[in-house]
Amino acid sequence: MSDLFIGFTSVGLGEFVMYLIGSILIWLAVSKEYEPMLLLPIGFGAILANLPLAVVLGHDGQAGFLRILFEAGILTELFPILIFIAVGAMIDFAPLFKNPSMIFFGAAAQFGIFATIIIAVLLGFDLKTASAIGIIGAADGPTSIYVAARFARDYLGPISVAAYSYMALVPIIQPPVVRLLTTRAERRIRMEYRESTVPRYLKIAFPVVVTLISAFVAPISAPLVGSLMFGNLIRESGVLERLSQAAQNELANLVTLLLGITIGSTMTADKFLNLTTLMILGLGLGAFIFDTAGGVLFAKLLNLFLKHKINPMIGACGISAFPMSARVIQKMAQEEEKGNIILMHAVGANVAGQLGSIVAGGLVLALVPLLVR
Amino acid sequence: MDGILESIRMSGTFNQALAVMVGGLVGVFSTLFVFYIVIRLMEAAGGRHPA
Repeated sequence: MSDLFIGFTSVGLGEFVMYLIGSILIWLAVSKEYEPMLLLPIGFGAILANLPLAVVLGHDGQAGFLRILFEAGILTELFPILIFIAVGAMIDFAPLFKNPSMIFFGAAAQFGIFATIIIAVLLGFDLKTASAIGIIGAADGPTSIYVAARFARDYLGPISVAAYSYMALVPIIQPPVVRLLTTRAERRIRMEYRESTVPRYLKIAFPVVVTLISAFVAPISAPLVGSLMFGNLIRESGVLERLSQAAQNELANLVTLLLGITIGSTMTADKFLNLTTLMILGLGLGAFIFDTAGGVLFAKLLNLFLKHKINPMIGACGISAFPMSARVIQKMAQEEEKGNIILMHAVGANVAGQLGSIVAGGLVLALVPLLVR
Repeated sequence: MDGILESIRMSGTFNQALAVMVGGLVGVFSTLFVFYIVIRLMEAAGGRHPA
């Protein structure tokens, strides 16, 4: 008789809390338009994974469809790699080529990753898990998923939710940090911009050269960097418009759809509802704050030596949240002084952040196994 | 180099995290610096034209 009502008896309070969390993610996606392409599938996947008996994960010794997708796409790291191809096809490095010195902000703004690793270790996490949490600071969903799948599979759910949620919250997270670390005079610094053309061969050669260099520096990063640059090469070659469009649209949409719901399926009540998840969400926020601070403080450091000062807000754009961060900083510049256009510098730094985040991700993947017994 | 790595492996997790931080930041800056040089060299080779 009890088998008749097993649907009702096999769930507890934890599962209902997960239905609520999944619903909140869906609401954030639909109502607030916070990264809807990921948060909605993640939210619904979380609901599915916590349904009675979790049949979507497995039943009667057979793997459920979400388990199959998890094994095929996450355990093999195939989904993030395919997303990288799509993202690469969407990236335009021209703003960086026109203003190459912005590349260093793409490095400085990765500070949050490493600062968060330190704090996570101090809070008791082992190095691999701390690194997977720190990589939230890459502000790059696929990189976060890739590293988390390797180093901290059990925390893939909260790490992904943190990464994508905070990427969507950049307009809320960055401005207070920037205001805290800069003076009004600094925020009103104007920067000269000279338009220039970018040679076509540079756009084509760059992805090849970046792949080669990155693979020599950190061979483990070859799948990450190689797939991103492959997508970019398809775009910039000028002879593969159909493939470029397919990568930017069909591939991106299809894999995002499957990736999101699969990540959501890892958010079972027993794994998600614990103090560790809260700590991961808190540390992820810290990572974004430290990223912003790292970029801004680097710009202020440079200004000690530069004759033509940099608006230090540009430093905050060195994160990978493109193009949101550039737009946020340009808006702040306009609010400080009407007519202050620093958008092209901001976009250059923001594009550099996309490069910096995958290089940082690759270095974390290379360094951590070297140091852990 | 092996000696340094071994001593870091034997030290605590905090020292390992510090090593990741130092190595990571130095690595990111160095790698992006190389990309910067590559961009400058390629532009110089082809001639960068102001619009």
